[in-house]
Amino acid sequence: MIEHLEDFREESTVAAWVLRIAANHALKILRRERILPMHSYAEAAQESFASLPHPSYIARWRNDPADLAQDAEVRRLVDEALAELDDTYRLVFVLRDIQGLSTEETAQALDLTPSNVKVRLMRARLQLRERLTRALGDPATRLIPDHHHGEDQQAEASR
Amino acid sequence: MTCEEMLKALNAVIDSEQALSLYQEFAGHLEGCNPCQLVVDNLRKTIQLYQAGEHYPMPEAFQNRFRDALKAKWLQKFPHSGISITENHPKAL
Ligand SMILES: [Zn+2]
Repeated sequence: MIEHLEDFREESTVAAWVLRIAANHALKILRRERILPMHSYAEAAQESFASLPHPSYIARWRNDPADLAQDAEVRRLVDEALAELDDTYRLVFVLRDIQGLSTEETAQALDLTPSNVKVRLMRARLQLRERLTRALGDPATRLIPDHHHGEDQQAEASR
Repeated sequence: MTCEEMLKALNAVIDSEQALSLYQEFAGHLEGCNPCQLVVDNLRKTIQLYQAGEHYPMPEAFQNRFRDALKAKWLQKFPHSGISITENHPKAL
């Protein structure tokens, strides 16, 4: 029955688009006869939380998500931001945050480890946050991140 | 806790529907760190935006069908995974 997802191609909603991507990618992986260990240890190490990009543009959003979602311009932005994600991050974001699958379900669907799912989800969320906040944030409320905040305290405590 | 450690722990913070007080350390850091507070707020809103609006929630039957299809595939692959398929939702769309 999953094949019928193709029937929704004509539907120009994000929902249909997102599902198409999710289905195509998930099933491409699931249909492989042999399940390859997709992720070498080296790749897994690269994908640790250690190398997460720091949030750069930090500002309060001008409107609530519920209101923003009514705006055609915003919907276009939201689509674009999602499209710009690497496939591997987009798929995890779609399954976890839009489809509402659990970490475990997502891991099984994509043949990833749960910790890999978590790292990819965080990367996807951070990239989307950065992109959307640049457009939807109120510049007057912008805060400059202090990357060293908390370090003095810790140094003090460990003395 | 530093901003760096906060960043690594963000998934847990975002996914928690509980009060942040559950995460004493996060809460402690957040209290004194406006940038991290805003990042958490931005991230929550980002996710809400993708879930909100007329287009974003999948039609329920469609969503159920998609989940069932995925689960059926998993069951083929992992017969002992313990995931069961629920039958109590509309099949038709
Ligand atoms: Zn901080």
